[in-house]
Amino acid sequence: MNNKLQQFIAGFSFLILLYCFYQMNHPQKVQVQKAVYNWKTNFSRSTYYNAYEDSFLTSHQIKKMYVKMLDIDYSEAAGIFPVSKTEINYWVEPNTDSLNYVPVVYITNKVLQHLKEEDMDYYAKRILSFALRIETYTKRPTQEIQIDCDWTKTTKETYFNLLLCIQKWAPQFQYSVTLRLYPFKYREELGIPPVDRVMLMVYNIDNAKKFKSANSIFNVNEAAKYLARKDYPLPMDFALPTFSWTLVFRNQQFLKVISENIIPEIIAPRYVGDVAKIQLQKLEENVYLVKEATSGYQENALRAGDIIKVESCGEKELLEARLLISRFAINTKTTIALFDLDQTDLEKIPYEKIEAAYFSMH
Amino acid sequence: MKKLKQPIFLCISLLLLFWPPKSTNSCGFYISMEEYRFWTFDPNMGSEPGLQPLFYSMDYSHNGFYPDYNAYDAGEKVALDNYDENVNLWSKYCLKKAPNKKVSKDDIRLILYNTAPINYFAIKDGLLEENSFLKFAKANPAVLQYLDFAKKAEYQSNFHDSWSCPDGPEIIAPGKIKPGERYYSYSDYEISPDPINGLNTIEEGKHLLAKCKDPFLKQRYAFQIVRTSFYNLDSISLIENYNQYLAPLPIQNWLRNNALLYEVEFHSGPERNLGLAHIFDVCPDKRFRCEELFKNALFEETYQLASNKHEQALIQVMHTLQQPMEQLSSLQKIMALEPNNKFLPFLLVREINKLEDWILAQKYNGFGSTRNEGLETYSELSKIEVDKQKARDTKYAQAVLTFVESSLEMKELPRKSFYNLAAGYIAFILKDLKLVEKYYKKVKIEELGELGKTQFLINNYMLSLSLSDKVTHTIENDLYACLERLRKMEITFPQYKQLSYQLVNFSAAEFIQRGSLAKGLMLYGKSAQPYAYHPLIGIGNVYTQIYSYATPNAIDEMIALINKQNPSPFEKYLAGTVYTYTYDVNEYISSWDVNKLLDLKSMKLVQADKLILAYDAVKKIDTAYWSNEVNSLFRKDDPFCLNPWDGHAPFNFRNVRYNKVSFLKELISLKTAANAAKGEAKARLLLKIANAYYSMTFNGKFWIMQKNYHMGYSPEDGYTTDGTVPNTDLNYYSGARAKYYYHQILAISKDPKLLGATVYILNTAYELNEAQLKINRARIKSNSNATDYYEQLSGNCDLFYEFIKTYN
Repeated sequence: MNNKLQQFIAGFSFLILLYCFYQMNHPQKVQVQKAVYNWKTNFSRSTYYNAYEDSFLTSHQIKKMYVKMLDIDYSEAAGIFPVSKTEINYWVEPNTDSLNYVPVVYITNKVLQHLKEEDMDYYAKRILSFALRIETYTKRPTQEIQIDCDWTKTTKETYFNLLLCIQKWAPQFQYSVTLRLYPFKYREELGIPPVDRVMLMVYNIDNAKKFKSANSIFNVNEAAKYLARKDYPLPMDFALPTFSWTLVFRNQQFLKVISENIIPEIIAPRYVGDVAKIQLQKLEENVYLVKEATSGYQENALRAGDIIKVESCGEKELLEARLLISRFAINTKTTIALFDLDQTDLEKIPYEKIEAAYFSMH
Repeated sequence: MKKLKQPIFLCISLLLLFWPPKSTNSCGFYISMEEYRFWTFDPNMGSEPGLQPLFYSMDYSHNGFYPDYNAYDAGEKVALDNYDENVNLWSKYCLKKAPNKKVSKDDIRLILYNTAPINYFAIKDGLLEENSFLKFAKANPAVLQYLDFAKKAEYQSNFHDSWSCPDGPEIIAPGKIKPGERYYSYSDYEISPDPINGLNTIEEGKHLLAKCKDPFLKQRYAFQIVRTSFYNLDSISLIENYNQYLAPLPIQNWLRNNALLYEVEFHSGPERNLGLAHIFDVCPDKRFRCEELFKNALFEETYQLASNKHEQALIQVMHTLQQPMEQLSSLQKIMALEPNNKFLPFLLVREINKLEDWILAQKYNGFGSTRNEGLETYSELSKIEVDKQKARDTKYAQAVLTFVESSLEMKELPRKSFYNLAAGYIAFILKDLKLVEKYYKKVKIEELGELGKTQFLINNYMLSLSLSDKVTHTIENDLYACLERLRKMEITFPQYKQLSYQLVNFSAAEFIQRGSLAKGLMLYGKSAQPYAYHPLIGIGNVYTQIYSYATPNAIDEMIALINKQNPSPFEKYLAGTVYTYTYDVNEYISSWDVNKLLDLKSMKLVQADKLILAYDAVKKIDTAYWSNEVNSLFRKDDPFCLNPWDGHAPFNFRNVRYNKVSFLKELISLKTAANAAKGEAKARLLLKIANAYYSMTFNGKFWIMQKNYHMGYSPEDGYTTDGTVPNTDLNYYSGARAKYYYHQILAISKDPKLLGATVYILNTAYELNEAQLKINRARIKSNSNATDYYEQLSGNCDLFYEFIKTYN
């Protein structure tokens, strides 16, 4: 090897080394699939009426939206029944809409407890019909269907059979399911769902039904305990929390969760001179005692003596959750989704923090 | 062209202030027909229950007699009334099973009819001790088991979130999907069967029914199965269970007939109609539903199917109830088929209510007949057409009366006192008072029920008032007795509240007609039923009626009556609280506003140019009254200073404030001073007086001096923008008076500026046509300085400001 060649190789190697050092100290941003969840009973897309949502989607260049289409629950009165059918108000010119929509169907664990093998086909077809309603309006082909369910060890088999049954009736789609932290960690017991991808929900760590002062939506230390393992047998997407809810406790027992901060609504007078019927006494930060409430035997009514607790996930929790998932292999096919597209919660988080949550640093 | 900014602002303010709560829809003034329909013959007089939605009404159905009517509440109340019978049956059952345990009917009603199935299961455990009915059920497990099942059946039989997905794609086969179609409505109007849970519920019901030993519960299981089968399209289960368990029950059994309706609905054609007629006959709480379902197009075929006269009459009744307007021929057919048909009195009352609405309404409600609106929706009939229609209606009334008269001659006709009362009242509508007396004399009061006795009392009062030339104490006492009776009975008979308002409206008009102006007008304050149209606020109220029809003396009489020591019961009633608007809402109930009455009196007196008397009236008004929202708008201006380009616009160089008292006081002083003054001093006073009268015109900034509302035009003003004088009273509303004083200035003054400016005012603000301009200019032609000044004013607006500052 002549000297010149040696010098060239050495110089070239040095440059490569420099580049590597540079790369190590200046990690590149990996562009993930940016997404949001629309978790309302009304899916509204309109140039005129969704200014905030439109602006949020455009400014963050979000191209994917998970849209909840249906909740399925079980009641002794009704059996397995559909609730919260999403009302669709879609008034966008199809050629101006660049979003990909992923319909989501939420199934309670109680449904799985009562779902019989012989009824599986009927419900699978109904689930598909309800999910694919979105195509009727958007005229955009669906690529993926997502099922959301907090299954347990005892309902695992029924759930997986249902998933297979759904795929049997419509094999042309990709299927994903939501994956809570518990089944992520205890995958041996809870199984690996027979689908194409999973959406890891990096929240709902604590049992909200236990009245504690900590935030049951997200607590970074608690969440970390579930995320010791860095992989999963299926490709993973990630859902990060940006939402609020209200927990209602009656007689020191959990009663229900209301999927928003209801305090402003219930203390606001409904008309001039109105004295709001629901009187609240603040017990501690975000915890209130209901002093006087509406009467009647309605499941959803608040009663005197109820304790309501408001929990929120803002900028801090969002970035903590984002940091937690940075250990996973994230590539351009990975979706990071914010849960959910709600103006009240999202406008509290600065633009750059939202952007930071969407980008992976490698 | 005069600017109308200020009047528009004032109109908007007045609208905001006076706008009634439920008088309008989006386009202009609108009140529903049932809000103003006139009636005094109680539609319940027919005596058959369950027919209220079928009472005469130009709406789709009659919505009941709740003055604070709203569709949701009324629907709920009506619905709950329909369940009374079942609640009573359950109450008896509980008492029989557990004589020592008190189970309240409210608790039964709450669980059976006011707890949604999903809520029931969610809260049941917590209520087992709280609710006496559930506590009873807990102690009787068979009952609790039935209730659990009944709630499941209720879910499957009532409107619920369904698996129906009309806008979703259909999954035809694995991998094969038929796209959905866009759906523009999100309301499901029909109960969608649930092929899994619905059928499971039916099977569970059959299983529980087979095990059940309790006959009371057994019937109910069968009913639940029938109902659930109906909504889940299981005709076999429906018919089997109906035939086995419910058909053998007595024909009046509530459960049987409710179930029969489901059975009948599985049939089609005339058989279905006949089945509906049978249920209509015996099941009051299903009458309206049966009538809704009855297919009138199949009337002839159904009639052919009838096997006896009773069925024929019944089908004729069903047919009649779906026919609008005159139904005398149907009544005649039913009478011929079955004179004692129990629905005939109801149908006759329906015709009487039509006649009241068609013939009497215009006089008593100010809006006329609902028929006119019903015939020509959104376009009122011309007066000629209305009169022609009324003539036809009167002829029809005569035919109805003839029918009743001939029916009364039939021996087999039951309830003859009712028919005599009806005949008498039709004669009353026809104003044949001697005939009324004849039929009322034949009424045997002991044959009338509670409703009939009240109706007879009212009808006798109406007759005695109509027979009298003037309003006597006896008539007043009779009216008071009627109203008191209605008031005391309105808890039991909710229609009596509205009936009392109708009676008040009738009496008010008749009192006024007989010269009892004060009491007649005061009566309107006791009614929350429309009695007058008002061009600005839609429905007239007691104060707008007083403004429109009272004389100053009548208002004095009202005030005296309000303050009277030892009044009669009727006078005490009149002087009590009143409705300030024609809505039965607490916020519109208040004591008489004597200040308002005095204000109205002053307006009348100003209109008649009786300023001293008007001043005496307003002097008695409390000072605070002038701070109210309407009057305070007029206070910050100078009514003696006229802005000729816009009479409504502020023009207040002296920075003064006036209310009616100070305005009248100063105007009277000016007139007194002007009478005593001479020459130029007098002329300058006349300018202020003329301006003040102008301010009180329709175009002026103090029109409130003599008018209690302001519209976009005022034909009474005796003034038009082109200077022509329409055929109206020139002395009315100050316009002519203002002109009189301006012309006086031209006759008296030699002051060129005053003369020039007066002509300028007349030409600018008042007399705008070319001919009049020439006449006015001619009057100062001999005074060249005045003409010059007029010309200068015409070319320089600022000069007028200088003039008015100096001369005002």
